[in-house]
Order: sequence, then C-alpha cells, then structure tokens
Amino acid sequence: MDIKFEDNKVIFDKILSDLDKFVLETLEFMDFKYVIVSGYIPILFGRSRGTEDVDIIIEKMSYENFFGFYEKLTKSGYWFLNSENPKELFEMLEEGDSIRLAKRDIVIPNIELKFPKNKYDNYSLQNSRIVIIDSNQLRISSLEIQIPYKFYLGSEKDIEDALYLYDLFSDKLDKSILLNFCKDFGIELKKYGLQ
Amino acid sequence: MGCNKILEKSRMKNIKNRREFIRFYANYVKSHKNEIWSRQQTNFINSLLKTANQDVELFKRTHPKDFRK
Repeated sequence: MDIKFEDNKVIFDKILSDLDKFVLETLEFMDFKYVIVSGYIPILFGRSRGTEDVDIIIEKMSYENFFGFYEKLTKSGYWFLNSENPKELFEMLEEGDSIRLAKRDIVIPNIELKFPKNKYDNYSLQNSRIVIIDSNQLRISSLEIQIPYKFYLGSEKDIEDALYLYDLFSDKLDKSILLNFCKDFGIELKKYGLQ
Repeated sequence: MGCNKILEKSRMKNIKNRREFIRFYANYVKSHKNEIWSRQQTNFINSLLKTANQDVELFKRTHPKDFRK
C-alpha cells in the first residue's frame, strides 16, 4: 500500500468504489465540522466488506443551519429516510437519535448523521484526521480511538474491523493514546493476539 | 460430546479462521500496490451495491428505531 502520513494528514490514492464516490459527493454539502466514524474507515482503507450506512458525527448546530443543509440536499437529489419534515429531523438529532440520508429512490448506501452524544464523540470530532485521496478530502476519526471502540462494540464484524486497522497501521499508531482508550473501554489487546 | 459443545467448537474454529483471514488480508493490502487491492475492492463493493435491496418499506420494517410512528 502506497500511503503517506504527514502531520495530521493521510495521503493515498485508490480506485474509488461507488460507495467512496457517494461519500465524497455528499461531504461536499457539509460546510460544518464533521467526522466519519466506525465501519467506513476500514472500508476506506481497503477492507472488502459491504455496509448499509456510513456513520458521521456532525457538530451541534442551530435549526436554521440545519434547514439550510436540508434544503441544499433535497434540492440536489437527496432524501431523508426518517422523515420529510426538517423540524422533525432536527428534533431527532437533538434528542440523540440519528437521521439517514441517501440519493433519491435509493436506500443503500445511506449516510447516518448524529450530533455528538458523549466525550468520545466529542474527542473524535475535535481530533479528526484529514484523508486526502487524489484531489478529494475527508475527515475521519483518529484510529487510536476507533480501534479500541470497535473492540468495545464487540460484534465479530467490529472485532474484524479493529484487527484489520490495527494490522494495517500497526507502525503508524500512537500506542500510548491507543492504550489509554483501551484502558477506558476495558479492552485487553492480548486477548486478540495483539500487543 | 454433546451437540452444543460440538457446535460451539465449530463456531470458535470458524471465528479463529475468519480472524486469521482478516489479518492475512490486511497484510495483503499492505504489501500490494493500491491499484491492485482497490480494483478488487471496488469490483466487490460495486456489485454488492448493484444488488442491494432498495425497498423503502422493507428498510422501515427492519430499522424500526429510525422511524417515528
């Protein structure tokens, strides 16, 4: 894998899948702080598996700003799966639920948006990494929190994602930050054959 | 050996084999040019998306928490 790590940036190229193109195209509408978390991160870096949705944490915003975002998307061929009513969608976000958006007449893939719910979501939002693929740019959560979090979630799919990212980037990870999050989440890497 | 024990042994072996494959694949991606692994990945993901079920009503039934009654 040809990949460069420069400060906070990860730079590489790949042949983009339709999922990658959908994500990059949708991010163009987000003129606010966001961070991609969870399953799309290992997929972005080559893991061959499907997914129904791409999870994105967005900064808390006013209804007016959310409405502007809603209008831009719905006028550009997107729909929100949970409701057609922007007020109801905003209420869902404020109540800690997530909302989904996709291209019109499409269900899969969709993007799942949520406001930060806890200190770990806030950490991911504040400590995102910039990924540059050719001329495209996106923000992902730091791997040092994603890997322990995936182990914490504990389904086989999540554990496999964590193992994949750990092995792929083992020499690039800040082990002290990673181990701190492991401690926070009660994860023992030894249990998974890692050290 | 009881039925449950046999199934559990087989399940654990399956998990072990899958995890070994994931680690093998991470090493494969690491040691091959981006064009090689990303072409395979793109073919795989695009074909999954091509055959995805776009039935909204089905999605609502299988993701009930997402939708207001």
